[in-house]
Amino acid sequence: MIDFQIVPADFYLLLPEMVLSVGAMLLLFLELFLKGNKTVQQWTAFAIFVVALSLLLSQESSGATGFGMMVRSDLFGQFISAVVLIGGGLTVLLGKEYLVSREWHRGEYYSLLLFASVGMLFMVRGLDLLVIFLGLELLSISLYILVGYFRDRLFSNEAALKYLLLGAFASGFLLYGIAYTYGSYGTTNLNEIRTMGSPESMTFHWIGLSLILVGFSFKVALVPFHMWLPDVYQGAPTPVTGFMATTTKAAAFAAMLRILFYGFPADIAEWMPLFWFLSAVTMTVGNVIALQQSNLKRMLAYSAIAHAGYLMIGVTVGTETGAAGMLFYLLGYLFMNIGAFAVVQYFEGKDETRLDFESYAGLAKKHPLISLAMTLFMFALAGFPLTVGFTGKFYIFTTAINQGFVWLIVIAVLNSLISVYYYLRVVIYMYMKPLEEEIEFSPMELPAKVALTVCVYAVLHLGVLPGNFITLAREAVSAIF
Amino acid sequence: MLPIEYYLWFAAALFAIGVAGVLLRRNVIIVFMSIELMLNAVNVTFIAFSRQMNNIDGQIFVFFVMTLAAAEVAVGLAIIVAMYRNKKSINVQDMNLLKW
Amino acid sequence: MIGILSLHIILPMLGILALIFIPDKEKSLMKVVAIGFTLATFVVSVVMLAKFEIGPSDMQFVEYAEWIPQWGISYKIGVDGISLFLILITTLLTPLSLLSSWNSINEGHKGFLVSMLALEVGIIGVFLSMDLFLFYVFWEVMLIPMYFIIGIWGGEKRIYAAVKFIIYTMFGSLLMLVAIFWLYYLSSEQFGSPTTDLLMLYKLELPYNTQFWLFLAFTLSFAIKIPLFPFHTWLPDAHVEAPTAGSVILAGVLLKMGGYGLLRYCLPLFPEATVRLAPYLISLAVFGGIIYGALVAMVQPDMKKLIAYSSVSHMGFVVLGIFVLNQQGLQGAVIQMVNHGLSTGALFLLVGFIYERRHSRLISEYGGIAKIMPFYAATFLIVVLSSLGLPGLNGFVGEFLILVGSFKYSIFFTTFAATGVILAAVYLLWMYQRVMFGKVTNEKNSGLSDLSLREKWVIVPLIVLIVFIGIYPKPILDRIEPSVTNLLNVVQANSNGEKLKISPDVTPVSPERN
Repeated sequence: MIDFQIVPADFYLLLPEMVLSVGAMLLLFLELFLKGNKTVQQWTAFAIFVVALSLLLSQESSGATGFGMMVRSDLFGQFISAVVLIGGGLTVLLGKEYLVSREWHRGEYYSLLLFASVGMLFMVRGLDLLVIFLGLELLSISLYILVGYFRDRLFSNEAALKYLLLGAFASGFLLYGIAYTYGSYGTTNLNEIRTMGSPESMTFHWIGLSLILVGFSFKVALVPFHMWLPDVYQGAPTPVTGFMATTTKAAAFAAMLRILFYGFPADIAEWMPLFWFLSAVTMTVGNVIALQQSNLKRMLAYSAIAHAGYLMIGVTVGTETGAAGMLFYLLGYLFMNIGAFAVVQYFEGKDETRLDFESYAGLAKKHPLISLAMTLFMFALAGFPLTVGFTGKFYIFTTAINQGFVWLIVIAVLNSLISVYYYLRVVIYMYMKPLEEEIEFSPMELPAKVALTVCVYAVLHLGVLPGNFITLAREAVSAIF
Repeated sequence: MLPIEYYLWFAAALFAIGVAGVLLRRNVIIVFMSIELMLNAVNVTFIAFSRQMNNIDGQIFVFFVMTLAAAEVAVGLAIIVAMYRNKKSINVQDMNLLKW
Repeated sequence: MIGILSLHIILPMLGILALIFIPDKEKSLMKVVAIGFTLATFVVSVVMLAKFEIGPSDMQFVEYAEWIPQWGISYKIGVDGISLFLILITTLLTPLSLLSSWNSINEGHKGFLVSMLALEVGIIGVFLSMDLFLFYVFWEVMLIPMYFIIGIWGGEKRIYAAVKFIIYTMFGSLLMLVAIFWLYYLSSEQFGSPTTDLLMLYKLELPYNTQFWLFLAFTLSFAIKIPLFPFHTWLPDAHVEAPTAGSVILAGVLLKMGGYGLLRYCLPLFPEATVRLAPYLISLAVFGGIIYGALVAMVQPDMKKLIAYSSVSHMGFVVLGIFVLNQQGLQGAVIQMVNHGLSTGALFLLVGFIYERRHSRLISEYGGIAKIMPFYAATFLIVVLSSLGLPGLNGFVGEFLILVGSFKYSIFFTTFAATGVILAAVYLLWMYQRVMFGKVTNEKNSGLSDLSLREKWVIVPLIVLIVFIGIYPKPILDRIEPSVTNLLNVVQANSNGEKLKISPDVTPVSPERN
């Protein structure tokens, strides 16, 4: 046990989380008075994200801990928290149009996004397994509701239920793992575990760590723990899917990195063969199944699995640069994927009927700019140069080669080749097939336009001039090594 | 006092029953109960360790887990009710809208 | 300060920018702007040619700027005798192909012109790069506009062809990417910090085993691009489906990127592997390239397909020239690439002209065209003769040099390669005869008009160059020679005891030679 007093500095540390939580509750209240004024709700939610982000970035990132080492403010946490908050802000901008057109606009949407973000911030800034777990659950519960947001639609219900059952199932494993870790070290604090070095019971340590890994494998959807993901991504409201696919992945990977690299640095090398295998299988399965999809959302879901495989290379490598590559990739993935889902949501129509490839036929002629943006995102996801998809992969893959994982990288680039095929199918339908039916889409609203522009700009900026962000990712990662 | 292994094996058995329930049962409510069983198995483990090491952390953890389980149930049952309204079924096998 | 080489990249980019701001209705203005910018680029490259110094073998006009210092990546470009004429032919063929497609693109003008300019940027970038990362970026980026050109403005099976094109090329380039990662890693191991600077990478000391794998990865990528049997199947499809302008650039310049890649990357980076593996590549070039391409070309009913397979055959000569690893062979390979760009580019333009009139490329649809379109027939004849290597026209220079080089290496291979020249005469002249001579059998052909002024403007510059190079190739060879000599020296010095197979009657290559 650590004796500690709560000092004001502790609260200063948690300012972003507090702003987000209070803001979330405020929005619930506002719902009472502002029913109908959707724009105010949207911009309030956006403002809360902006304030939280600026508070987060203004904090010192020296590695100060608070609340008796429950949370730690370091550059690593800051980096991923920023990814989460930017993702949240973009989702707020994108959500309104979508919900209004389906007559499902409620203030809860924004509150739940905010709560989910609080959860993720705790996940990545927590230094104690308890805090990480609580953050994860706060995130999960908010997401269960968001996924089942259209409660009168079976798609949404089914997705939510599947997510809930498998999410809770995974939490059970994670928790069981934490229990055994506690049993072997006598504490759940990662800092103490780190300083202790060797556990009291090696058996418990192994059981604990493997169960924790199973839990996280579910959360980041590594094969064979990925079954829930395509269903959930397909059934959830599209802006929520974009949010889940990017921020949640970032937070879950960050928590995993923090636990593994900070808490159990000695174990990385021993687990390497397993990680190698998980990484190779995950990207291959994700890409091969994505090849056969006819539904765009489902295709992107399987591609999300494949990208989890690419990211696992960073864990397999187990070095500082490997982790830095992951951070950089997660940042880029945020913009590529939210952008892609933003286009999908614009074209999908009110009743989710226009999600197959055929409905994209010939869209480029009527919507040149949005099609161009989609093309950029697809090329980025496929890893073409001058987009962040390439610089991100370059970073991770070169690091892996440096550590001698040549075959893993050969598998990875062959996978990229497969992915080129299905990502470019979208482009083929948009540009090379004739327009099938005349459908009028209402023009995109300003907030969504802003969000899309931000995504396009970021994908290109990180692809052409990644220098500063590479440095940033490197510095961020040194906090957990 | 019983040696700690007894408690651990007991918890492991409970956890295994829970996992089996999730994987094998078809009724969503029962699947849900099985997940609760898993969480309670974890609680038993925590308390056993806590007692053995004379360290209060584990017991605090249990309180959090219980609260969380309650929150999860609240959301979960709400989703099940919404599902039932639309589908008139709570059988896992009937959830077949989303697949490739 | 923007250097003359950066101008080559910036001018087409400015053209793209200008095109974006022209309203969709102003079609002629768009064409004029696009052609204007590409012509300006050509002028710049002619200036570069004039300023190019004969004698020094190293890179000229080098420009350097930091790009991603964290990764040791820089924007470094330069030009030497090997890349000089490839750049010139790119800047020449782009405006000509744009001019040729003045009327043939019916929709999406803006997109087409933007794609063509982007293609030019990509190709020139590949030839200029002196940084492996920069090279790879251009190499990949160039695929995207070509993909759109085939896929949007192509023929009936355009989507199939476009996908095949991009998947084939990506397959090779992704394996090359792994090799680049490996080199990048080795550079950090040997120099302390990673770098992708090509001149630094030349200094790497690689064991043969490593060289073998890296050489294989790079060569695979370039072999797909060239293309060599059995990786050539994308080419006929791409050519047949692509619009004329796309075909011209594809055959005229894009294939040269493969040959150029071999010269710039495979030879100096992996000299020992090059020397040891050269026999295999030579036999592949002779049988899988020259002979196979010629035989298949002979039986094609479609003119574009025939020319596509003739490219396989002619590019086989380039590979042969490169891997015999002597002065004449290499020099021949470089000039053959230039010549092939000129003559095949011209052939595709000519086929495009008649396709615009008749919307058919089948040889059997034609006959007796010489009577209806005499000017057309005359130009076609010159180009065909140049392509089959008639002395006095440009095609002869390259093929002769390559055969001389190859003769020093092996009489066996030279014999077969020379058969390729004969076969080329057979399939090209046979096609010419079936299309041009005889009676006008097809009614539809009787009303065809001869070349318009615009079309003459497109084809005449190429004819002039074809004749000029054929008669007086010295200025070109003079500029190529120092770089080639230097390259050979690098290969020989680093081939780790693996002797270059040079027959005794030839003086060994030495830096003092002029």
